Amino acid sequence: MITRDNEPADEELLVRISGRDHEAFATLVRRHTEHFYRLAARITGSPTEAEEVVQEAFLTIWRNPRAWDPGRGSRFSTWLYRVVVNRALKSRRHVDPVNYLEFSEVQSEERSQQELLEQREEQLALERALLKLPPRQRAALMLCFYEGLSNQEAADALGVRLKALQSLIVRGKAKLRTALSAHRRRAQ
Amino acid sequence: MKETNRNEELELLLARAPAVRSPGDLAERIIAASQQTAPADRSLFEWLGQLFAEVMLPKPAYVLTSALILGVVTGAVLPAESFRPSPEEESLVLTALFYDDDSGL
Repeated sequence: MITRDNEPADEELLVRISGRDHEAFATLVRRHTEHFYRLAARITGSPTEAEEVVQEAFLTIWRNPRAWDPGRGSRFSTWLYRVVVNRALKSRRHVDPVNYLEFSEVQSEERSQQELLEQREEQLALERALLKLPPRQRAALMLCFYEGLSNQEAADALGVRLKALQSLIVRGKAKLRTALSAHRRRAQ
Repeated sequence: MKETNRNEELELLLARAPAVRSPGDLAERIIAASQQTAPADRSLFEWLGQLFAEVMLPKPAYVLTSALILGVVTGAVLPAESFRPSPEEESLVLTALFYDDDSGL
């Protein structure tokens, strides 16, 4: 199986990794590390923890490539989401988000420095509120709104039913809205 | 602000979340670490599964079931004489049956 960029698909790489093809493993790691590091960092709130989570997830694949069973019907990417999310949820270390978040505001002539500062403060308040959420609620919101997964894909990644995921999202959003409102009242 | 608007605004903020700085060499470090990592020891079942997969045979469960069915069919088809004990064996069994039990009385 070949992707449209003439690069082997993940599933093809997994077959080669089963045969101890290290180059295939390196390709898979280079392809996904950045993406899954960002997700792990968002769920754990800790860059160090995120590195460990991603490294362990990939080393699990290298040690036991048959851990992903295509016969069970889930795509490799969904399975990898589940591995990374599960490991990230077990994390306990947290840091202040300002230490590792990169704010990339688009400078606009229409926006004053004051407005940009307010927007940044608001985004930071949201990040802090996210880190205070219970891990599963945070992971559900990250998967749906940051990763752009469908509800069903996010439910699969979290290993929960669709209804349970929807419940996690509703409760998480309610807490974030409360935190944002509190931030705005303080800012006024 | 209406509930719907607040919800939309929140979703917009979530989608606009700032990026996380990643260490540039993480992928290379993982690749290097994997070179020092031995593959996991496989269980007997996993080893058998891979063996069957490599030689394009069905899964072990299917093979075992087939063997069981084959055994039952073979037993049913072969004439009963094939399993009958020889006269010497038969007399030994009869002796044990009729006399050994009495010895206990």
